[in-house]
Amino acid sequence: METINMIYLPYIRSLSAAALLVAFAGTAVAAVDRHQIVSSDGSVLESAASGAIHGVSARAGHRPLGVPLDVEAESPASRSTPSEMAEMGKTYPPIVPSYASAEAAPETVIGIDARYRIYPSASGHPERATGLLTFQQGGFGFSCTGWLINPNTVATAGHCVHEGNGGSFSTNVVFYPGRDGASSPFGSCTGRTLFTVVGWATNGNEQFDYGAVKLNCTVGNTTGWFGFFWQTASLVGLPVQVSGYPGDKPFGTQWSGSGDVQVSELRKTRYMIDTFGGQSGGPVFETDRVGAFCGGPCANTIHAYGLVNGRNSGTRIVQAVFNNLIAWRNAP
Amino acid sequence: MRPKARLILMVAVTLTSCNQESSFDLDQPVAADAAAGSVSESPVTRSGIRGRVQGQDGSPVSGAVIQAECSAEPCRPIPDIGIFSNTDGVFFWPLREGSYRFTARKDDLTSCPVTAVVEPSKDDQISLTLSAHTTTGCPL
Repeated sequence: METINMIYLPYIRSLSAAALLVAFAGTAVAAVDRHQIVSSDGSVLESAASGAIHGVSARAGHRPLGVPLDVEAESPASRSTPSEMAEMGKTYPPIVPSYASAEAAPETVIGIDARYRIYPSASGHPERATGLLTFQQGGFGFSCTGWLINPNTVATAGHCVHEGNGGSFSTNVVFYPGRDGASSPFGSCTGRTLFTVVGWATNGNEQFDYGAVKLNCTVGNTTGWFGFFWQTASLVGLPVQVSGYPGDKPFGTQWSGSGDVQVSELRKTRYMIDTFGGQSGGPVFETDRVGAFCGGPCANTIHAYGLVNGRNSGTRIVQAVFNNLIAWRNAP
Repeated sequence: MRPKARLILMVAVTLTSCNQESSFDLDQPVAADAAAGSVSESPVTRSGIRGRVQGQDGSPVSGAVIQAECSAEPCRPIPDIGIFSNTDGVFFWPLREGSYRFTARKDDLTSCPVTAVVEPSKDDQISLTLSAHTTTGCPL
């Protein structure tokens, strides 16, 4: 028996090891890809295979002479009447805070508020490719920020299009590109299909907190859109801007802050750039990238969260995120 | 531990810790801020806090922005979503489990902070009363 053991034990051990490996490998294969796409209309969409492509460039909009500014929008450009603004303000109200003391400063403003107002009509591209996103979840109204990535697709945070963790998709999603206070210089468009991924919709994992809105219009042809890219190298030190529609400023006004990426993680970036509730989904971008992969205003992160350990953060555009953004761009 | 057993264990650990993300790339930068990333993997729940914003006379106030801050460690990331009270003064703040401090603002009015604990099984409601005072006049 001793002899048999001496002969067969190594073999048996190898079999055990193999079985163990197969078991673990099987578990690994069976696990769900957290970047798998989920859509509000149930349509099946595969992630795009980008291969060696690391980015797509921005494009300024165009407007032929004599064509109204809002020609591509679902709803026309408008300046809301006082009664319309009052009605909208009931759900998405103007906020004029009185920061009388440091105690009153919002939690995602770090020290002195360094944000500056953007006037999208006057600023042109890419400010007008950033827009206010309003929607409902569970009967309550919320606001976020989104940014165009082609004529009819808006990138944003996952929690702006879906409740996460097994919840439901948002409803009544409306995008106002370049919204400027009471004015919607490029009109508004309704979201017809919402996208996010399993990692957010099912798992509620903040590292997979990104999504997109397919619009009922092609307003991006007028406003232009952002480029975006991914890279394996660290983003630390990259100068970026974070734009959006913060709830602590007059309703519908666009604000921006600048700084450097301070922490570059596997799926997140962190920065000490001031934000506030309502800026979720906004682009974290280089204003005029000249480097590889992307030219012009190029986003590398989708802003999503307020302070943790002194920094605000967003979902980093890694290859899988990039592939999904491309798939959503290409979706019908 | 014998070398072969150690090898098996190492392979098994490697396999179980392997990320399913299709883009998993060993060249990706490792988190420089490990502490900040350490709380990130736990899933959020559709838990949160319901509340009502009112004036000093008790009437509902619509259109107030509701700010949430972490009030006790471990602090979890708070979505940078715009949360406002509706026409009935009611709001819902979707948050993960934890302890938070809530404040309402509208125009020049501010509420005193109210601390509440978010738990999935709880359905607590808080009340935020707007007044012209600053937070320095609030009870500790």
